Amino acid sequence: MTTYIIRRLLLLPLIILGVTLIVFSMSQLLGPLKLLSTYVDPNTYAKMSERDIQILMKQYGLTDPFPVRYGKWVKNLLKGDLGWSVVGKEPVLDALIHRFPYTIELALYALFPIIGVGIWLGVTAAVHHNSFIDQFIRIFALIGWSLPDFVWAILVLLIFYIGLGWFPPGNLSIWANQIVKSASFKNYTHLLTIDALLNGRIDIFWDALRHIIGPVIAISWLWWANLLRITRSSMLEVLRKDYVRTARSKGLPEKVVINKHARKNALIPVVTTAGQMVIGLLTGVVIVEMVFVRTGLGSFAATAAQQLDYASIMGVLLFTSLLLIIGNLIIDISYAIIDPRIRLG
Amino acid sequence: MLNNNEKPLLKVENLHVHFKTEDGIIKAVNGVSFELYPGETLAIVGESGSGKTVTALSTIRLLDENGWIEEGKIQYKDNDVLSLSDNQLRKIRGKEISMIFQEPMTALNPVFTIGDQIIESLELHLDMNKQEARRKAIDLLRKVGIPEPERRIDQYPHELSGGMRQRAMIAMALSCNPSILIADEPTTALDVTIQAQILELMKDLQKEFQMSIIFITHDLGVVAEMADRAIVMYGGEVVEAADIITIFKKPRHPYTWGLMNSIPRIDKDEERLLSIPGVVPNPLNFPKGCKFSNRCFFADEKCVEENPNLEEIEENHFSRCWHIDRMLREMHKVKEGER
Repeated sequence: MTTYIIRRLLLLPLIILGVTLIVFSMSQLLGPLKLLSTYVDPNTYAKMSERDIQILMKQYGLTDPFPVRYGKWVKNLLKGDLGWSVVGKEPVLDALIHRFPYTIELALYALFPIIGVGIWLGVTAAVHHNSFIDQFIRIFALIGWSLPDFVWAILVLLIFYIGLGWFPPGNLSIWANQIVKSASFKNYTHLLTIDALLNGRIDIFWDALRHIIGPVIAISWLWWANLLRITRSSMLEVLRKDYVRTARSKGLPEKVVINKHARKNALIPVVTTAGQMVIGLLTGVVIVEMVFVRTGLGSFAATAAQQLDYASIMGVLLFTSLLLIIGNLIIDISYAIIDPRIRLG
Repeated sequence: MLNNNEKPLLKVENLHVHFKTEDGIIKAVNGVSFELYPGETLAIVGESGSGKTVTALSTIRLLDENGWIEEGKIQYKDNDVLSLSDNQLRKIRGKEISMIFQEPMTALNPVFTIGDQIIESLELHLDMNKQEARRKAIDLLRKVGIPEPERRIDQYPHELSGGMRQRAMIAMALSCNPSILIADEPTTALDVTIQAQILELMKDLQKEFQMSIIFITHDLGVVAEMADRAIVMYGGEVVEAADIITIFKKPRHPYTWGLMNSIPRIDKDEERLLSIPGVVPNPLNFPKGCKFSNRCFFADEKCVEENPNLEEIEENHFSRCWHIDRMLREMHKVKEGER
């Protein structure tokens, strides 16, 4: 187990190097003039002559050969310099650091209801295979699976904000935002709900929560569908296994047979999907963040893309790749925790 | 051995088991009856699809969800098994009647240690605490011949060899001192040398635990080794039943005789092994009359039209065949030929 993790950790820098190479190569497809905009505000050179622009490019090393530019870029990366974000009006790294907590917070609130309910529905459907409950859950999954997220997100907004007035878009109400931005409000974790509680502001906590429930509903259906389908099929397969019959032959109550003997085996493939979901939640709930006008990594990436802010796009790409690599490592480790055949094999 | 004065432990009467499949309802077991007496080993012999496993699983109502007992009576001691509640049934499963299965790899749960799986039974049925149960589990593992049980108890099934896994399975099945052990082809998946060891172990443990065994197999060699009595099944019916010596010396059903001829014997110089022609038909379209008629050497029109009853042809020897006389003549001829 330990050697397995060490082996994976040793591979990590190599993979990250590969990622930087790909991200950098992709950015080079843009051509030198576009690249200049990652260093200099395009307005400053819009009226410059061709020669001045060439000088400017030379100044930023854009005329150097590829390996030299890549080397410089990596060197800057190591110093934490990812360029200037036009959209964020701050360095890219700062822009990422400032927006990521909002995405984390949304992911945290979405995670538990999605995994809990998704697995529960999947197990229930499998245990009541082909019954009315099963059919109902399957239809529920089918709709969630087929409904495009931008449609569903807008429907949620329509029903719960415009219709019922419960869950407004945005991160906070204006009054709450003013308090949060003020000097007296201390940011311990940068997660709004938690900071609100730590500051003893229950009213702000409720306000932040109210703003987060809508997006959570909008994200959940698709992932419920995803998780419950995997859980259901995996559970159905496991329920036919000999060891489930063995467990019954021992006289164990059906509850123990299902929740202990069957479920632990059935969850092994579910871990992958759940892990991918966590990564997906952290790296880009782009559409939901856009529809609900929330600050976060997803909406940042979308705005950057709209405004051709290359430095920001590269930054997001690099950052999400890193998350993906680390996330996959965690998935593999949790595999080993659940399945002794991997752990000891 | 067989003592008819004693009360049977388990009595199955006129058992009918059906399964619902996409192609229709399969009548897997049709009117099987047998009795199991304390301390004896009863073999249920037949090819795959003969209904032998389903018959055994029915005794503790362990059928898959698409199967059900259509008709019949199952009596275990004073319990009418078919009318027990699920809770009452669970007190019999694993405690009074326990099972071991064909594939020790798939029958043990891969994500729990063998210790956990044995201890679970002990805690459930014998109200032991964790420490007592662990001590008892180590004892059991030692008893079934697993070396270093203190270390093995914390291992997972995939860390054990096939033979060791089956030993662990046996330890689990015997953990609560059952009166009946149902062994469903327990040695089929094992190497021949390991088979012999496991059979030997089961015989020893039977004496020690004083239990009855229902031994399900297609292997007559194993039957000769293990059983006191045997019932031969074909197409969901019993075609012949007798004590083991009678079955081997005086088979009175063409199917049983055919099975015997498929066993290679070193004491006879045979040019080739006779085998029963054809395969077991799809249970959805068995012949109308005798189920064996389309593969039987002696079959005529009567066999195709009408299924014979299971008759007691001599004391405690039952057979289901119209043409026992013709079969006897043929057997005689074969014997003459051998001389």
